[in-house]
Formats: sequence, C-alpha cells, structure tokens
Amino acid sequence: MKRVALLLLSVSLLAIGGPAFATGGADEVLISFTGFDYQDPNLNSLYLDVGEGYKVVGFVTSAGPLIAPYIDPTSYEYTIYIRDLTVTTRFFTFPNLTVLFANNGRGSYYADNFPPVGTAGTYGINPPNATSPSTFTDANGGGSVGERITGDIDNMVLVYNFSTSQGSFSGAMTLDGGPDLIYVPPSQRAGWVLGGIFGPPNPSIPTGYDHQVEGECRIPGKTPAAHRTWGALKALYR
Amino acid sequence: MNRNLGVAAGLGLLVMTAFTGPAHAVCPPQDPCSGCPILIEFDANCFAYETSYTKATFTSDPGSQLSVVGLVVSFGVPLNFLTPNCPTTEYTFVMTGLTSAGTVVTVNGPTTNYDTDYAGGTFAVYEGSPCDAPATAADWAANPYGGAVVPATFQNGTAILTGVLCGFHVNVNKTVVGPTTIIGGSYQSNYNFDGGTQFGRVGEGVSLVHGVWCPDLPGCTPANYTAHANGKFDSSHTTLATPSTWGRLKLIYR
Repeated sequence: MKRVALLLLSVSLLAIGGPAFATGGADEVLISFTGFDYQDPNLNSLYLDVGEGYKVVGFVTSAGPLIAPYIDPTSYEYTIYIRDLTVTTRFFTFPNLTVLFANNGRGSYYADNFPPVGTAGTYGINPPNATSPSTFTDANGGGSVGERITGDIDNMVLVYNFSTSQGSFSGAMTLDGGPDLIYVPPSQRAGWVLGGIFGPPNPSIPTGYDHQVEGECRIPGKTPAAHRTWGALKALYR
Repeated sequence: MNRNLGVAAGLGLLVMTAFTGPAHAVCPPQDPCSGCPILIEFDANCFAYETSYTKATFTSDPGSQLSVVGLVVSFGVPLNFLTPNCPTTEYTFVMTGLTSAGTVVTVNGPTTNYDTDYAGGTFAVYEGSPCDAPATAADWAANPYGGAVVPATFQNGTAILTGVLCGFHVNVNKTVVGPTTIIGGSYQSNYNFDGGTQFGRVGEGVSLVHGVWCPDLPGCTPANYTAHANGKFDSSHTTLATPSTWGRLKLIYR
C-alpha cells in the first residue's frame, strides 16, 4: 500500500513537472543564417539523387546569447558553410520528397575581416567556383578570424513539396571544435538542432544554386532535474 | 507641357499608392523579382499561437485562429536606414486573422507530413520605444500569448508598414528512422504591403514571407505558444519610391 501511494505520488509529481518543462525550458539559438544551397557532387539532373552531396553557404544574421557577446558584426563578416552531407536514401511520392543523409556532415560559422583586408563572401555561379565556398570560409588579416565554431551533423533529413515549392531540413548537431567553443558549456555542446527552409525558385537565386535558405542552429529547452542519490530513490519504494 | 507631365506623373503616383484594396480572395502571383533581397529579417524572437491546435499531433482544427508575433533583427534596402537599437528602439510585427482549414496528414516513406492552409491574414510592423517586447527565452516563457505583454508589446508604437497575407501554408514533417525521430517544419505566404508610414518606400508588390516552423522542441513552444517561427520578408521588385511633398514635386517643373 505504501509503495502504491509512493508511486502515485511520484507520478503526480511528474505530472506537475510536465508543464514546467513545457513552459520553463530555456532554449537558445546559437546563430541564425541565410544563404543559398547547392548540390555537390551533382551526379545527374535528379534533385538530390542517392550519392549526391548537399551544401549551404551564407551569412550569419544574428547570434544567440551564448556567443553574441563575442560577435562583432561591425568589425567582421560572419559566414556559414554546411557540407559533407551525402544522400543515402530518397523517397518521392508526388509532390513530396524526403531525403536522408549519411551521418557526420559538418556545419561551421566563420569570421573574416571586411575588404580590403578580408574577402567578402561571394556566391558567384555554378558552385563550387572560384569564390564559393572559399570566400565564405577564408580568414584574412588579424583578429578573431577563421572558423569560430564547428560541429558534427547527424540524422539530417530534407523534405520538399514540389506542389507548394516549400521545403525544410533538420538535423542533430554536436558542437566539437573552433576557438569560440569555449563559450558553449560542455553540457550544452550536444543536442543542437540545425534547421532551415527553402522556398520556391526565383530569379534572385544565382545560377547553379537551388534555393534561398533561411535557418538557425537551436538547442531545445533543458528538462529540469533534481540531483538525488540512489539511496534516496530506493527509499521511495521501500 | 512640363507642368502637364508633372501633374500626370504626380497623379499616377497617387493612384499607385492609393490602390490598396482589401484582402485578396485569390492570391495574386508574386512579382517576378529580379534580385529581390531580404527586406525584413526575424530570427530567434518570433513565436506563433493558435486557438485550437494539438501540439502532440501537430494538428490544427478547422477554424482555428493563428497569430504570429516577432522582433525584427534587421532591415534590407530600401528600409536599411531602420536599425533596431534596443533598449531605445525596437521593431516588432504581428500577423493575425489567419484561419485554419484543418491539417492534412500524408505519408511519404518514413516521413509523415502535416500540412495546414490558413486563409486570410493581415500583418503590421511597428516601431516602438523603449523596447518592451520579450527578447529572451525566459521572457517568452514568462509571458504567454493573451496576457498583458503579448501581443500588446508587439503592436505598440507607430505602424510603419501594414499588409495582407495570402496563401499562408505550414508544413510540419516527422521522419522516423529506426530509433530516431526527426522533426522539421516550414511556413510560407504571399504578402503585399498596403499602408504604414514607410509604405511609400516599399510599394505594394507581392512577395514572400517564409521561414522555419519549429513545433516540437520544448524551447520552440514556451508558455502557450504553438511554434517558433524564424524567417524573413523578401522584397518585391516594385520600383522604389521616395516620399516627397507637393511643393517639392512642383519645384521640379518650375
């Protein structure tokens, strides 16, 4: 009877804790970005066929509280580069496309001095080309330039609806390198979600790129937890 | 002759700026922009709320009313002279009047798509001072939609732009691969401006507002919010205009 009562109490406490998780989980954005995506290698005309690669280059549009104090958009140009994503599986039932990618993709953001010391991120056409992705990843001059934070991307999925010309991608990201990684607490380096969207083709998309991309890297709210001992836990059921 | 031309041009401009019809029943096509950069960017501080939505199943009931509130991060040409500068000046926006047609669920391989169309909808962008809208995760969690802060702090100040939405569509997708579930989402809508103090600079060209739609992660749905929306208003190719006075216009022809 006592055990049943304790179990009921525990369940009721969990139930109370549920809404607290939904309302109090403080999530954070690492960066938001905009840019263009392209296929590389692009083996044939079928969009993101098995074996093809997916890449995104672009610019950081804002930073979250973890790294915002160390971002200086008046002094540096901040760019992003998502790469090493290879299509493993493709499902298409008109109008919906789902593409799965192999694990261990990479995503990074970079800082470079503004011209004439640095080079402005330049898309050009038909990437990869002489300026893309190179001008989005290079580091010129002094200061805090170069790759600032990089991470591993797993479980990446891309979905596109050819009827509405609307799509999105989502993957799990673990931050694992770069000098600014010190600003991310070790307990928060895993569990980031890299998400983005792309809309219909339009003339502003440079030749050779597929879509204009908008996205962000976000870590979900943390589940509240209380530190207890095994003894205390066992005592609940005795 | 010069004067006649001037008057004709002036009247033409007036007609162009006065043509601000009601919400379009059928979405007009987007303008064939030729280099249409981002006009308004909004990132982390943008959330949606819906009156009849089930978070667990990503389903919106027919008739449910969707609203979106957000903080602008930056403006592009021709509004790039506007600079969010908190704690002094903030730029906010509110989308309201979006009525759900109900969520349609389809399956493609390992992915389940939850697609919802919303009819109608208007929006307004405000310039306010001082900054008072939620701007941190803690602020959002503490201020549910419908309370004293939201949406009130997103629609105070001067309405610098107002407009109409058309064809607002949300896609949420859930892909299950073995033990792993991946949730993604997006939204997009046609829009055109129809008023506000800066309307003369942007015109009424039809373009796209779209972005990430995060319906699942705990941080994406603080308090009673139903999704986090990150995104942008693309600019249209409408010929830019500079606000002026009749006096200045007359001077050109004297």
